[in-house]
Amino acid sequence: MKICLLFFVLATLFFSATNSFQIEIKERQEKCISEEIEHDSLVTGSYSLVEPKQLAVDLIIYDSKHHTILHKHTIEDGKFAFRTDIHGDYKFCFTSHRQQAFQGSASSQRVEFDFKMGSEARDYSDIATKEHLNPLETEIRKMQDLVLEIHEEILYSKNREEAMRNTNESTNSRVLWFSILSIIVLIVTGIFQAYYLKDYFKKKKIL
Amino acid sequence: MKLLVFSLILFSFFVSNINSITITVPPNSKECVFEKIDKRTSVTLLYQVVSGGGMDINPEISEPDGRVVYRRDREQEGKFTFLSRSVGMYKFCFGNEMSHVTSKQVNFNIQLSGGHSNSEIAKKEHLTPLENGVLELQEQLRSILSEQRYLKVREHIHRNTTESTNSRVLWWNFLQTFLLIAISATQIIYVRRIFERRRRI
Repeated sequence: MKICLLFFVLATLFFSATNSFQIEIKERQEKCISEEIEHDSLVTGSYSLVEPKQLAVDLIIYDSKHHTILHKHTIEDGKFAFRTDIHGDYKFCFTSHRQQAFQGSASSQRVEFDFKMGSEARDYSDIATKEHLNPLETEIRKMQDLVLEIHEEILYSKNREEAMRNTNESTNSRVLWFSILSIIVLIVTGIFQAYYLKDYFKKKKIL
Repeated sequence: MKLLVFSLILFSFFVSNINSITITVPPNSKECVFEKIDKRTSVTLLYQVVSGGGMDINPEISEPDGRVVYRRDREQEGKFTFLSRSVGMYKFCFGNEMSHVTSKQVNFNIQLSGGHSNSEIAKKEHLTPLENGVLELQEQLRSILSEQRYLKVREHIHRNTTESTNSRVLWWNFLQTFLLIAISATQIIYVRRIFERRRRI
């Protein structure tokens, strides 16, 4: 039984692992990573400067309306967490500035970054202790949250698909009516031209 | 024993990353992302160009020793899986050298599965069928979510194209009608001028 418990703790750790990646930032450069996040979703993450520490880097997180959610100056190692209000593209930007270089005059800095959102961001060991769930119940609880998340995202996709369908139908009818309009305008201008010139020449007594 | 093998197989299908990220590649440059990967890990790169110009990108994957594992020219989207041969920093790059003006936005996901961390868990043999079922279900759900997120990005791309088509139909038609009328007016004026000049002579 104890081994089972250990196994599940390990499994939880393993399943909640997301691999972090590194990006390279040059002097006075800004690099942004964006991600589409649902509204009312928990986002957690961690960042750290990779040795050797050479440039000072700021982390700014923008929401989909380009308001600043978080601004951490001259980051070292750290974590962040926030809850999203609105749905949209969230940007995680790293900017380097020259003023406070650590040491040396190298021109680039690697930053390690990692973030999780939604059900992956939740701390299940915490929920397990709060609600007194045994390991199996924790896993089932995780699945419940996953299913809810899948369901929400499907509903969202359904709405977007409907909007796209409306646009498509509008395009379809526009192509038809505008083409008819173009043909009518063409015929009308042609006839107008013919009559006008005929009239003109009659007036000038050429015809 | 069967359970052990089954759990090993189960864990080797575990996908580590269901979130994809979007980066912007400025014109005439290459953006790279580095990730430390263990050996004998199955690595899958899934990428698609979200927006920008000709919607194409040059992806490139390099091993820690510098050897290029995957390189393509001007692809809009793709998927590539390889088995890592060594531990170290793998480089995943996207090049926008073909464009001099527009920057491209690429959405990609690096998924890892298998690897050494399995060995600790694999030693635990006390997996009841229920526990196994629960874990397998959970893994399936995660992969559903992962596919769904991929499709969400594709839907976003299609929607952009559709809206662009819709507005293009409107504005270019206005331009066309306006040009038609302008050209025919110009024709009439020109013909009149010819005859007026002739009369003066």
